[in-house]
This record gives sequence, structure tokens and C-alpha cells, in this order.
Amino acid sequence: MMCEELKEMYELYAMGVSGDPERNEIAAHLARGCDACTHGVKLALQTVSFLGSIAPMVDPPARLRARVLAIAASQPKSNRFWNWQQAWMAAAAALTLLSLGLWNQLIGIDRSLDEARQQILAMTESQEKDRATIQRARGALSFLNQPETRLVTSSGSTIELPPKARVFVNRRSGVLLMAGNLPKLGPGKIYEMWLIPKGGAPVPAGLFQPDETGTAMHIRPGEMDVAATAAVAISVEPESGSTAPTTTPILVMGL
Amino acid sequence: MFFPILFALADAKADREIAKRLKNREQDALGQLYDRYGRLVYSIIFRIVKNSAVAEDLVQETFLRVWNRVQGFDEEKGALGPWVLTVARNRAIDYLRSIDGRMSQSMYELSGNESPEMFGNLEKDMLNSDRARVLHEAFKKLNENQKTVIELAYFEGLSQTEMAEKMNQPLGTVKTWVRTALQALRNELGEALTA
Ligand SMILES: [Zn+2]
Repeated sequence: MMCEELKEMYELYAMGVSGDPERNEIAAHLARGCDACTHGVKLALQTVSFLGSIAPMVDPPARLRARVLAIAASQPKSNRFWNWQQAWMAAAAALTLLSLGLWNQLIGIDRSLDEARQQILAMTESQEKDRATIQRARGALSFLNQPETRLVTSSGSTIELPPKARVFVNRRSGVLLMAGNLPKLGPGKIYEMWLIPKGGAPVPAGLFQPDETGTAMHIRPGEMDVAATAAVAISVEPESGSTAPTTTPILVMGL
Repeated sequence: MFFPILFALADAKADREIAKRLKNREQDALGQLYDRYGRLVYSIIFRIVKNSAVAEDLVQETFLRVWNRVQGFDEEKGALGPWVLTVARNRAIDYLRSIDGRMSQSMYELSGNESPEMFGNLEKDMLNSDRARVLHEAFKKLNENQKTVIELAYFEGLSQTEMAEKMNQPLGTVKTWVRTALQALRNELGEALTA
């Protein structure tokens, strides 16, 4: 498309709300250094930024200034690897999505959220992808923290949901598993997590029991070779655990 | 009516000074930046996410991002205020989209639009404070439908298709409102975008 046909879309593009094909067209013009489009989008970005003045002015809490200043204070120690506190936070919220039976634990989660805020501060550019996960988690938390949010249960009727799990891996800190809808086990049985190396036999990675709602969080701490790991799996084992799976895994998550 | 944005944008020299000191990693420059733009940034984000705790976090992320990326900012020719406000608005829209599952689109689209280079080297025949005032006045003159679509785009990050769904209106109608609204804003700014 010609620049002329795109110029009415510059503001929408600047707001990130333009549709195709214009969005791709403008992006292509910018990528090849088109002067007209670059100038137009730059101007549109500024124009659009002034729309912020439509927002009703609200005074931020006084403590916010100190929180912002803490950014600069914490910076030289940047490049910290993302840590388990953030992972837990994401995990905690994601779990609530897997099973909404976690209402009572939210108070505790909220407390760790405060601590995690300080950690988020230290995150740098390379960690922004992780932040997306945390943002989603925060969204779930804020949903759950609203007083009008109610837990809806299907009283009387039981619905069999398939087991679900998510796995976070971190080369320095290990594996975090969050699982939901895990079937209740008979006496003397337990769940065991396995790390399956590429071309190798499963390695035990700890035992865990889900709560009454079938949800569980389990960590295998310590370093791990993420690149050499093919999958994380869960199987049902005797309660003392096994050195190799004795049943077919109920979940296998490829890395 | 008092517009803090005008006050903040009026002093371009102060912005240059702050940007220079931010690039030198001077911590109190961040405090100055916050004093100039913190209330605006908070207000914009709060209007978008409608939750004060989330807004506080996102304000912090806004200033973190500015702090981390300021090396790419041209303090001589750059527009610091518009950049900061754009980063703020994008953080909040990203958040909104992340909680309703529109993540993939936003991550790609918004981050490209907030690099400091996009706020530099732009010759203007008007001061930013004047442009902000003109735009604010121009917005007030739009009709209700035009105001609504601009607000849905800016504060909710909705595409025209999404607006049409939300407003329960034909897409063509929404497109007309958007086009005429933007045209009116542009006209008032006296910039027909003929580069
Ligand atoms: Zn072009």
C-alpha cells in the first residue's frame, strides 16, 4: 500500500489498535525506513499521548514516589535471574484458574505478593517476558480479591475434569509444578514427579499429595540442565516413592 | 480547569535536563521525573485498569522501563513527556489485554511503539504544551459517539472491530466515527499529516 493510503491509520497504529492489513503495511514501511510513515507515526504517537489528559486526575498514594525511587536504588544489582517468589506468585494465581478452591489461601498469596513486588522492581529488560506471566497472575489475583467475586460450586453434581498441570523450569532453581484436577488416590498411594532426560531413564523428582480439591504445587529445587531435559511427568506410586515409574504417567509435559 | 499535562509539558528545558541526568544514572533525576509526570501517569493507568493496587505496580513498571531504556532517548530532540505517557498507557493496556487473553497481539504491537527512538528527532512547529491543550479542547468538541470510540481505543485498547462488537454497531459506522474523530483532532492540531 502507498503511504497516502496509510496515513489515516497512523494514530490507530500508534495506539496499537489498527487492524490488518494496515498494521502490517505500516510496520513494513517503518521497517524499511519510509520517511513519510516514520514521521507520521512519530507525530501520531505524540498526538495520541496527549489523549492521556482526558483521564480524570487522581492523586497517587504518597508511598508510590518511594517505590519508584527504589528502582534506581536497586538497579546496579540488575540482571538477577527471575526467582521462585515470582514463579510462586504466577503459580499461585494460575492454580486458582485450574481449581477455584483456593479462596482461603489467598490471604497468604497476597502477602507474598507484597514481597514479590520488591523483586519485580529488580527485573530488567530480558525479564519482561516473565513479567507477562506475572501480570496475568496479578490479573487473576485482583479478580479473586474483589469482594464481589464469589466461588461457584456445582453442589451435588460432580464433574470429572481431566488432570492439568503447568511446569516452570529454571536452570538454577529447578522445577515448579502446578497441577489441578488430580484424582484422589487410594490409601498407600502418592504422586511422584519425574524428570525425563533426552534419551535417558526418568529421574525421581519428589513426591506430593494434592489437596482435597485435587490441586498441588510441587518444587524440585536445585540446578537442572533444562536443555538436556525432554519432559516432566507425573505418575502414581506407592507412598514411599519409586526409583523408576511403576505405573503409566498420568501427565507428561514436554519441555 | 487545570491540566497538569500542560504544566508538565511546558518546561521542555527541564525535561532535557532530567533526561540527561537519567542517562547519567542519577537517582534523584528519577524523583524529578516522577514529580513531573507521576500524577498524570498514575491517573492514566488508573483510568485504564480501575484498580489502585494494580495501578501502583504499573506506575512502578513504567518508570522502571523508562529508566532501563533512557539510553536510547535523545535528550536534545526527544519528547520525554509523550514517551513516558506512552509507556504508561501501554503498560496498562498490556495488563488489560493480558487478563482478557488478548496478549499475543499487544506484546508485539505496543512494544514497538514505545521505543525512545520513536520520540526523538521530530521537528514541530508547536510546543508540546500547546499541542496538548489544543488536543484536549478538540476532544471536548467531538460528539458523543466520536468521544466514545476514541476512549475505547485509548483507554481500552480496542480495535475498530472490537468497538463495533462492544457498542453493538455496524463496523462501517464505527469506522466513520473513528475516522471523523481523528480527522477533527488532526485538523485542530493543524497537522494534516502530510509529511
Ligand atoms: Zn510509508
